[in-house]
Amino acid sequence: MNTPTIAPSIHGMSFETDLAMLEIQNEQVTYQADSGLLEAARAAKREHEREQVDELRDKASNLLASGITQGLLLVGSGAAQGLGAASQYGADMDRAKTAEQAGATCKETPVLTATGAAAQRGANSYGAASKGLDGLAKGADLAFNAVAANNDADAADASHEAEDAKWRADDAATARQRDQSLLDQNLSVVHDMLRSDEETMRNLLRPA
Amino acid sequence: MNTMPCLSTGSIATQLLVLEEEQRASDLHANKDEAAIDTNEIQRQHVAQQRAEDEARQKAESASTWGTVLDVAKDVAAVGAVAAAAFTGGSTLIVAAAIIGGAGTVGADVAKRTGVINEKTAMWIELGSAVVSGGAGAVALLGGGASAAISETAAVGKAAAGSTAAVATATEGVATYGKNHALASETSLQADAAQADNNAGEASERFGDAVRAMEHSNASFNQASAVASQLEAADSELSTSLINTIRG
Repeated sequence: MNTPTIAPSIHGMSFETDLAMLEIQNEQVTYQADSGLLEAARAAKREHEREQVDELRDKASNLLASGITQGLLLVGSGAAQGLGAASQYGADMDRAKTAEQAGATCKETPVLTATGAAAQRGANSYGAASKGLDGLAKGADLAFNAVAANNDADAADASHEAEDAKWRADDAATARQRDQSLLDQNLSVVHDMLRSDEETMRNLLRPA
Repeated sequence: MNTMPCLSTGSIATQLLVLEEEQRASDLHANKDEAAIDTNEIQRQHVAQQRAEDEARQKAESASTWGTVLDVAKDVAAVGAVAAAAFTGGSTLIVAAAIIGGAGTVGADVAKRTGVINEKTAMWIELGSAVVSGGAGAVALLGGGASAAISETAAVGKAAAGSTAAVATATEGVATYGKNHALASETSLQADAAQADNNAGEASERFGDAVRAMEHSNASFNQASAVASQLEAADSELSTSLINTIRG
């Protein structure tokens, strides 16, 4: 570390006053450094707060996308289920009539008419579609929930970081205020010293 | 840069101090204005935050209502599916699986409502039940294409149960959208509230800075005034000495 050299006093100031002036310069540097720290901490706090708000907005978008996706899939599943139930009813009625005509018992598997077979195929297809859409809706629910949980975790992290930055900013603000107070006190002391130097010079120059 | 002519009998140093005093008075005024603006901003942001939080609470209530509709729709869909399976008269194993799946869904919902299990556990039980029901459905579709004959009454009952389950599933879809829309609005409003809180915090920082600057400005102003008085006195003494010297 370089030690600054103190120039000899050539402007009527005592050595102590020179020293005090250097001390003030040093305090000014400290004040500026603390001001820099304060600004950096405040900027970090603003950045983390912005991240937290962004994460919440992302979560809101994901929830809406999840609602639309799952809603459409489930409504589609319900529609397929309804169509499947209608087709199944057609097939069951056909089966019941065929069984009645053949005099078969309920435990036997009757042969369906062509219409009944088509209805049964339709019921099977709609049933499969309904189950598939239902499964997709469940999958979408899991996927979107995972994204939302991620958003929550990121928002919480950003919130903690912002809180840390706030504490750093508070510390820097306190240090800066202390620097300023010390600087003011020293300036007052230097002012008194300068007046004292001036008085000394006057006394020296005054004719005997 | 304008130069100001020295109009008084005071020294340059005194003039300089007077200028400094004026500068500090101007700074004080500016800081006072800044503090007033920041105070208004803080109040405005607090009002915005309060409003956003109130609206978020309303959206949360709406989401809760949709959640209840969703749970009921799920239960109805499960019961409908079980009833439809029971009317099928097919494989006992398939019927049993459908019943277990439905019972799991309804049981998880009841346990969640009564606080026996948490929401996450209920979600996993519901998923498991859905897999069991789905499996039963798939087996019925793949292997049970040739179903046993059922009576016309059973066919009507099965269709009614299936239709009920279909309507319940579609309602589940609408309720899911409604619930998520309300939750998205709530989250968005929470973001607005957080933003307003952050803005209020920044205004509060600016207010604190302005107040500290005013305090410092005041202290410096007082100090400069004291120095100016001393210099005025010294200047006056010097002028008197000069006049006396000239007069001999």
